[in-house]
Amino acid sequence: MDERQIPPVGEKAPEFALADSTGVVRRLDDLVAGGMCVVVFYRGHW
Amino acid sequence: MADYSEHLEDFRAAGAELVAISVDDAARAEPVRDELGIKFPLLCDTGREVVKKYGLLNSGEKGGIAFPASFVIDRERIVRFRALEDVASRISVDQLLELVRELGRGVEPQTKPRKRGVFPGLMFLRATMNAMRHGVRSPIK
Repeated sequence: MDERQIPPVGEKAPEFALADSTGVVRRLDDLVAGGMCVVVFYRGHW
Repeated sequence: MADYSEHLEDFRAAGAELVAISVDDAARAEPVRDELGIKFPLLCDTGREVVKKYGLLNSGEKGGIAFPASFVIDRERIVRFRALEDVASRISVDQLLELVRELGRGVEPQTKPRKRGVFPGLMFLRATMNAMRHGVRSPIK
């Protein structure tokens, strides 16, 4: 893991648009519009 | 992740949405959501683009998976907090919720992540994932 590439506190998080497991596309800009978003990266099944 | 789901309404009351991202496709993520009763979106980064953009690609494992990490991102898309599992800055769901509440009240967070070893949320997640991985799939990978 190269920590230098991971967005640090105080910097802008990269925008993303990803489909969720039900097929709905979620954009970070929409997710934060209400105030904040907690984004959790997890290992998954692989 | 079930821990996060239990606190979903608390996070929302504090002004925060909650999403989780992995490289799993919908066919893998949806049963997890069902089984754990997760009420927030599980995003499928099958192309690894977002995981790469966030510097979290663990390419050493099975075609590339995400290093576990949590971010609190505000409405200007500024990172207000981050916790990386592989360093000593992991955080429990309760601590994360407290931090979000502090941010929501406009105060600088006083909640500091504890040292390694006291993270029931991630421990539970890992245990569940391991159980499912080894329970559902062949041990030969």
